[in-house]
Amino acid sequence: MSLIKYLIAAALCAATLPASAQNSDLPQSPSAIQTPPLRTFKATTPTRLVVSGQKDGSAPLLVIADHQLPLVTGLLVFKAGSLREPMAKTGLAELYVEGLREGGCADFTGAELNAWLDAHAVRLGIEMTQDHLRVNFSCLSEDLEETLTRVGQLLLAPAFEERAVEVGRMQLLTGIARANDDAGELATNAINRLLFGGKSRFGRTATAASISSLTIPDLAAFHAEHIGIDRMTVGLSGDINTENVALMASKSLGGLGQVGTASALPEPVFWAPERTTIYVVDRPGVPQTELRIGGPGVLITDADHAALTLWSYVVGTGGMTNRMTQRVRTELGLAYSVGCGFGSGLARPGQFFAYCGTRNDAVADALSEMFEIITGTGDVLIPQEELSAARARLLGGHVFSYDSAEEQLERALTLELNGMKPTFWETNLERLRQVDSRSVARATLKYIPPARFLCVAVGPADEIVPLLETVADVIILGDTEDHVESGVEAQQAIDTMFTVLGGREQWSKLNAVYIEQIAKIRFKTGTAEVPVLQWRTFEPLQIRMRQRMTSGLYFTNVISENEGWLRSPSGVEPVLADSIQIWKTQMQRWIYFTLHRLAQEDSTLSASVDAEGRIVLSEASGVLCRLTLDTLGRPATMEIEERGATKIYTYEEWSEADGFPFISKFHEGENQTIEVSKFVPNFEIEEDTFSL
Amino acid sequence: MFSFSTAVLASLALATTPAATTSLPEESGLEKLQASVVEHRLDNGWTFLIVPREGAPVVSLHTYIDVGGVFEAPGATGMAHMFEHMAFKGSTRLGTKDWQAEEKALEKVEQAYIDLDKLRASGSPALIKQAEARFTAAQERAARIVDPEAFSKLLEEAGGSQSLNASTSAEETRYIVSLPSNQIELWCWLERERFADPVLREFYKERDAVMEERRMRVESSPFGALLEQLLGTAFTEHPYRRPIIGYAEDLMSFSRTEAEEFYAKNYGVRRFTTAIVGDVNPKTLVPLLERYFGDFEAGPEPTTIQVVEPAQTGERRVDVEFPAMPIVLAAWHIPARSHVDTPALDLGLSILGQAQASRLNEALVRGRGLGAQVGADSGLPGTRHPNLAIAYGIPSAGTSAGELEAGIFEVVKEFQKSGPTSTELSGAKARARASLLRGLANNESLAADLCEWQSKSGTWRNLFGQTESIARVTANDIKRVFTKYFTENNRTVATLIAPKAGEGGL
Repeated sequence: MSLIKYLIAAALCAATLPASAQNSDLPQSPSAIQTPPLRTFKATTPTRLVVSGQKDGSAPLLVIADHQLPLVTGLLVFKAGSLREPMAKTGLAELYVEGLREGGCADFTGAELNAWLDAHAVRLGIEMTQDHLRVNFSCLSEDLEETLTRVGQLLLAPAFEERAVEVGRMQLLTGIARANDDAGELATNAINRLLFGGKSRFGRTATAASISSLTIPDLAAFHAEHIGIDRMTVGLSGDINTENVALMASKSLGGLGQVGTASALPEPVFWAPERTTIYVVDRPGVPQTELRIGGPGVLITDADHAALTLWSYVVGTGGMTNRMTQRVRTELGLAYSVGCGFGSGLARPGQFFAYCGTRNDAVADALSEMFEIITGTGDVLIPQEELSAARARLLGGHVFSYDSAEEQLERALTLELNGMKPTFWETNLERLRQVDSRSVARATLKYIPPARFLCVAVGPADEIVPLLETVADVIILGDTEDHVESGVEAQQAIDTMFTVLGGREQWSKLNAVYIEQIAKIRFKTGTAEVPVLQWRTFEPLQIRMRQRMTSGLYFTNVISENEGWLRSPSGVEPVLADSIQIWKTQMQRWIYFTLHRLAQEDSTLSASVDAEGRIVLSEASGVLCRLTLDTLGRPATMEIEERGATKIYTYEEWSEADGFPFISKFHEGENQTIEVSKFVPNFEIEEDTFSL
Repeated sequence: MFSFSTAVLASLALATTPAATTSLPEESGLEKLQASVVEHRLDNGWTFLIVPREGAPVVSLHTYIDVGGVFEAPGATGMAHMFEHMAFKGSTRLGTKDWQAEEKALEKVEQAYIDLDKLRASGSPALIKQAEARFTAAQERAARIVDPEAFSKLLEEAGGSQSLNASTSAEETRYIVSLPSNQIELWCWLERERFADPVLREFYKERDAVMEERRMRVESSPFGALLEQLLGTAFTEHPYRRPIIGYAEDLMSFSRTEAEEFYAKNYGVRRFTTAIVGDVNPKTLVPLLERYFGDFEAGPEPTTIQVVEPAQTGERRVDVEFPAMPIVLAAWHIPARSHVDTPALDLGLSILGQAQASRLNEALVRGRGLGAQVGADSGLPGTRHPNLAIAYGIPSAGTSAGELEAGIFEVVKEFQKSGPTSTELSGAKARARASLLRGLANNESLAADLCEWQSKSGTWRNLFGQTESIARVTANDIKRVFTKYFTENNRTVATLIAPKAGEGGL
């Protein structure tokens, strides 16, 4: 290529241009343009209506009418996200979505539904986020009523057809088998596993084994637990008649029953390495490495959220003019895609993330540049001009939030679902307007601690490890790498459990219970019903129990601190010391006593989560029991080791006594069902209450 | 859950049909929308389509230029896309701290690159190293005079940070942004700078970034790698065989001078269509457009691609080794979008591989469980010229690519034999109509569709008239076109396979 050729090209170029590119009749710079004020625009407030339950309950219905085109979009949101999967059933939410969407219902098969959707050009999608099940559709306005009816029928009585569930399972298993094909997905999974722990509900991913173990009753149980009118919010936008839409929606969706309030979910606990560490996921044979950095974020309502958002626009979010894009892409040519930001933080603290795809031999340069840019704001205030530019980029496009009825409805639904005030968006805008350099510096020092970055690199390990080792500590990420103590996850689950059970405080004070129950016992030769009255005090640990044996005779056991007595028709006799110990051991494994100890945060009791997702409670002497929780977070089963065998208690029904929750029906192994007819919690035990 | 690269396929497939006009009388909303479109053609040939719409004070601006990968010279693949990147670099008065100094610095960069290029062909390693050092130093000197990303900064700070974008395909390049409606004059000012006075500064660093884009989209992507090989095998002569992003060796060899030549040769404004949709008033907007763009020269006469792809006379196959799980792509040559068979092909492909209960889905995913995902599409890699219809599949875990491929061909064969049922046909027509409506629903997609129809069919009105040609399609039409085009001799099959043992891989 010669310079002459270049000059010829330049001449050719000029031939296509206007006589003078810099027309003197036009503004000579953008600042000379007279920009008129933006037309005043008032966002449409959705019409608030109600989906009325045919039996009981109701759901909010938000509607924005827009008659420009004969189309309607709809969104039904249920508080039923993947975070509510039982710990031992990872992947349930994904398979449930497949089974619900494709598996038909009492009124039509999955194939019939798809045929109808195709014939009417209706799009129906079902997706599960961490917090919600979202059922969305788009239809011609003439098909709205029929579409709503079919959606209602599907949700009311899903059939989870076996074939549909198996196809869904096959697709999920194929996805797992192909996980290595997508560097982005590998990086995301690795970051989440490291940040939250692979056994945590925030860091776990479905495996072939977990997907394979799921059953249709699991899907049905998840549906029964979560899909009710009291967990639903509905939004409709488009060519809608607001006069009759509530009636139409009530007719279609009002058949859903109530399932109770969704329990609170634990907040994630973020892990960070002691010093910056790069975890390498080996992906051989590709020329580009995917780099990620992960860390904690904040709730959208947090006082630091606005400052961190603005910081991210300076550093790595939104367009081409942030520092990271300018430096790593424009100036150095090291990446096509690079940036950073914070997750939304709507229901819980979001996540800080940074990303970059770069050629394998440039990984060290790219990552070093990213570190420097991220930490470069820690001790030097961001210049006012740069902050203003970032604010302009962030707020300049604010009006696009009202670009369509659908977007306005989505914003309204976000407020509704997260219990935020109607003025939230405006308040948030005002906060962003007020952020200054000092508040940005304060927030970043708090949330972006230098020299403790958690990084993931997905690429050919043999090529990138030697280079990355010049930047920070490098660890090849193995299958079992898990830095978050499983106790954290266990503690989260226990916290949730106490939230559901009415609070830790009352369980902590619970000092004794009185129970009247009928034990239905199945023998090889038949069944028997054994009435039992029992008092159990926790501090001191004592048991009084009176039961009518199958023979019709009554027996009473009294186990005190150091002595025990048995009263039978033949008289009173002492209980041997060994037997007293057995009684006491059993008492220590009793569900109410265990809950009492947990509520007191008994330091001799430690908690972890095992591979099956059970909470393992241990003492110095060994494992006390293994607990599983139901989807609401209450104890579902308790396993104990007793004389070399595993004994499983299954808690089927919960009731309340004076506002205190108790188990009204449970099973002890396979042969005993216990129904509790009276339960009296006692918080102030006096010693003489239990005298013989 | 994994996902096939639907974005790639979507960008390649246009739901379009050839010329047919008139409105849809039964749909007052559509009729009203059609009546609101204002067409204004400047004397130099630049066409503007303006659509005032109710709603928020925002506007989508979409400039569509009939220039894409097919116009590139051999050895310069990727140039159209490269120029698209460079069209954000500013002008002689935007993006520089001192144009006179920068102009000289840029000439030195170019001379250093030319010297390096010559040496690379025949020089000694020591001399090459010296030349590389001079080239790097020249770039660093030029970079110091640059006001980086000044062009993008103005649009982003005016409210375009979420939407500012551009794309290049085999036959067109699009420059896109949505702004608050009071910023239209700023857009005019910048669009004029972009095309009247472009400066291709930071060219070689941007070329490196584009190379990273290639590594991301093609060399590290199973689907991207497979698609590139499919096109290279299915087409033997037509430039559709070349990757839009360019071959790596071409990308790393072309110069800024060649990019400027490409611009000079191809970017005449007779190839430009701009759609402006949103909160606008045509009465005040048209004079503004005349002021900013009326004095552009018409530029060189638009050229056309005369290469005709020879008819395929036997099945072609290509296996692509890549460290990933298998994917199957089968492609058949079909005529250009303007051909009379297009509506029947579109409806047939909708029934075969796009519907929720498509033939492929029902047979191979829900039925035999051979595929985790299957589908069909057309318009690969463009639509102006005879192109490809494809069927694709991701085998389920435990299924070989060969089994799924055989299953796909069985379904196609059965479809050729049976044709669509009346329910399938009416459903496909209903979906085509609904798809049109959905495309009109937002400003950005309406702007994109108007430009495309204006450019490819001669008038934007055909966007609204397309359902008429769709309505005329019969089951026999579909049977006929599938029998005609979906033959073994007209077929190319590309399969992603794992590297052989000892060659690395997963």
